[in-house]
Amino acid sequence: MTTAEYNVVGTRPVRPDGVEKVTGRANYGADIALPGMLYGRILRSPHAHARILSIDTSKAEALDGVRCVITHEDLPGASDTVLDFGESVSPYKWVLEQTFASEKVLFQGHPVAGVCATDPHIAEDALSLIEVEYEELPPVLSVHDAMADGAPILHEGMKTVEMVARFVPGDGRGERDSNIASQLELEHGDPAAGFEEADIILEGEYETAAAHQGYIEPQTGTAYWNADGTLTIWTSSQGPFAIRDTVAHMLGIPLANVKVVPMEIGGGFGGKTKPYMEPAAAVMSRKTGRPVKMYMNREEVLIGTGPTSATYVRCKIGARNDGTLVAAEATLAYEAGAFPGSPVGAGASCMFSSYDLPNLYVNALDVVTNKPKAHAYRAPGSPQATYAVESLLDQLAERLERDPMELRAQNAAREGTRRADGTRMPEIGAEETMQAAMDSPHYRSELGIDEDGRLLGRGVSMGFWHNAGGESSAYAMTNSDGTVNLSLGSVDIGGQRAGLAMQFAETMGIGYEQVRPQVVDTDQIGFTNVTGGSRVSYASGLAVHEAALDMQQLLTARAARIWDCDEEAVSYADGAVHGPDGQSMPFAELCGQLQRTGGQIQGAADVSPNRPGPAFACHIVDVAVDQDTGKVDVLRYSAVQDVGTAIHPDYVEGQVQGGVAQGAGMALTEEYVYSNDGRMTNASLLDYRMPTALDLPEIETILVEVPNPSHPYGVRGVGEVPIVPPLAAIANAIYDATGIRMNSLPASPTKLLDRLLDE
Amino acid sequence: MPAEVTVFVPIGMRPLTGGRRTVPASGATIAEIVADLEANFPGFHETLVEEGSLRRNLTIAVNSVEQPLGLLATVPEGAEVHILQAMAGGAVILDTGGK
Repeated sequence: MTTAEYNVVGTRPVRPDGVEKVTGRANYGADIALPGMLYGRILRSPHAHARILSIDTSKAEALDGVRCVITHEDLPGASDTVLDFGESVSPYKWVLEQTFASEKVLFQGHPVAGVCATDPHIAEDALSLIEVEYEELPPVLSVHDAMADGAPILHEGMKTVEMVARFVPGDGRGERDSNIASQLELEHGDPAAGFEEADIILEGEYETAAAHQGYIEPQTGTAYWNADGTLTIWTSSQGPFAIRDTVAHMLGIPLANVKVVPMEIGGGFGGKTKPYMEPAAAVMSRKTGRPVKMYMNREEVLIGTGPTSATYVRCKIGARNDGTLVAAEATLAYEAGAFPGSPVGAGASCMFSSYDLPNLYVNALDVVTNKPKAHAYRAPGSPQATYAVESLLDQLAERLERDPMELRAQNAAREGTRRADGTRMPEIGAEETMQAAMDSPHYRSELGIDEDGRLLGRGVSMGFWHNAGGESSAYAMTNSDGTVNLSLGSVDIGGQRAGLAMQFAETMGIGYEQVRPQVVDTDQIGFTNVTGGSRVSYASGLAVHEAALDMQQLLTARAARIWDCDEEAVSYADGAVHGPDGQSMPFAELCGQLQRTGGQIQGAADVSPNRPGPAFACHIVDVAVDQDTGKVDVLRYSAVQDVGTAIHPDYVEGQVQGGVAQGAGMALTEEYVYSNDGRMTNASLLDYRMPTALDLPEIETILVEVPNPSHPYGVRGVGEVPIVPPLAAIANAIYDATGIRMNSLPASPTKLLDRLLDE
Repeated sequence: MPAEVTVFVPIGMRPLTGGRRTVPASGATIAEIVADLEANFPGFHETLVEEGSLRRNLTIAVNSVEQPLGLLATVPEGAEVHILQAMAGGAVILDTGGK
């Protein structure tokens, strides 16, 4: 089915939250103000790796206006429970240590103590009165340092475990303390035989820097622990239920006693799916009996929250002379930061997924370093690993004198192709995406010559993301005037209210303007997983669809009562009920009669679908390289993507463009820069350089629609895959322009200029 | 009625199967498949099951579709059964790894 057959799906209505946002009236986390509210601040470690010898809070506690000071001793003890944040998980003991360090600090910015006071400035002043004595330890700042023989060990007693089997792996690694937290090996076919069959074998090493999600709104968290034992938390999070469950577990209170109120969210991109300050705010509220508000400044966001991993990837591909890929092999080492849990598993499973590779082996290592704990960031782990594969494919095309897109299309994954983990692809649109890229005006255009004498180049790359399903809830209430209030558990970070209201309206056969969607708190809706994993339009879309079907069933029963006939004789179609004798009553008219037939009704649904449609993207980019400065300018960018069905094409295009901008940042400018002692030297948005609108051209989008057969409107997730191709596409374009393979990103002017001067 | 299926063994569990990449198994549900694996390749039950449920760091795919029901999921005749590392969004689920 194409969108042309729909009434609402595929149109571009105004978003319901638009006016509040553009007029500045929307309430974000920092807008909360409660009577008697206190302000909390966090004391953070100045050291990347140090043993805590003592913490003296007495002077801070004595300061006028300070209401309490807390440390790790105010949190409950550790257990082996694993906490699920929707886009990541962590054993509870690590979450506890991240909230407040106990014996060691493991990264600059690691929380050591918290203060709350009547005024934020007093709380800030009190931080300087807390005396912490440290014994500095040598920091571990890269996967190479972490895996070297004799490396300082972050977690004494930690042994490498195999991720799936939980066995310790061979070669002695599992028998001694290690900074390699875990290992995952994926294999299918016979890689050794595959490489024997290859006419050409190419191999390369690739590195990427840590990059932050760059959301504009810093983390916030306000908590009020009521005298009756209930706890209310106001926060801007992608996962209110994840926050609820984590805080309840940490503080040992029933889930039903914790309510999380999701505020409007100023960007998340995966980074706002776990609590950073909410547990501390809750503990301080319990101690003082007052609401406690906390928020980070930008430096705290950069050093104290989780960016995506810095990575090292070694990759090898084998092909026949006719371009057929026959084997591939890769080793991935991703920085997890201070605690285990990088996205290396996703990188391993995604990196080759655009292609039909019969023989494959991937070895993925999760490595701890003295940096902030890595956290989810848009298609976590996939961009970095894909960069390696797509760089090698670019080299292969050059060696074979083949068009780089035709070579890719020759090897495209299709339905039934085995992935790295051995499972088979469902119905996918990889080939259609590649073909649309080859047919695009951009790809068919000539590169031309730069008037300023810069070197011009063009690059392409594919990208894959598996997308996710999971639990979602929705309920809808009729009103007597034919309008509907639609309650959602999914936080809106990219137009989800509009997109879900559209799907509901489509199923009900009513107008979008008749549906008023709202995101409600955790007391008012069934459990709903995070807004992440590109899951909302798919899973929550199914929830609103099912809620609409539930509502239709209730409506037909009421119509049967009105028409005095069997319920089975009444049907619902095209926004109206239809009776056995040709009767028909539109939805709005029936709503007006509900009160005299038993009252208004609610349709509800709780779903947990498990067949998300994988997403593919193909990007084409033209760059100009200034030989004198090493600066790379993006001249033209086209993003082609299989979106399944574009529910609201404006928002789909916006997601694609946003993903490209973030990927371009990872490719060209964004990186965590550390001093030798492990301190971040660019912890401000002046020095941590994200691309702005002035840095990028208009990003052209081409939406390919290969519907996901497991969703009534064919929805695939769209938000994450567009960040995957930009790293390799831009690196390949730089090579096309200069003949230099940038095997380390970002390709900052300094780094590229060094290479230009070398050559 | 038990189904005859093919279980794809992840590298980390191949010590249990003497290095075999795939093994046949029989059962109507994943729980029965696990019991059959345990009978023929001792150690599978402990590796896959904890407190009566599939370990949290694992997921099972039947004919390439992940099964939220875990051990309770049914399996059709001739199915491919994959034992996979569970993912939450992008991150692997670590069980209590890293101890």
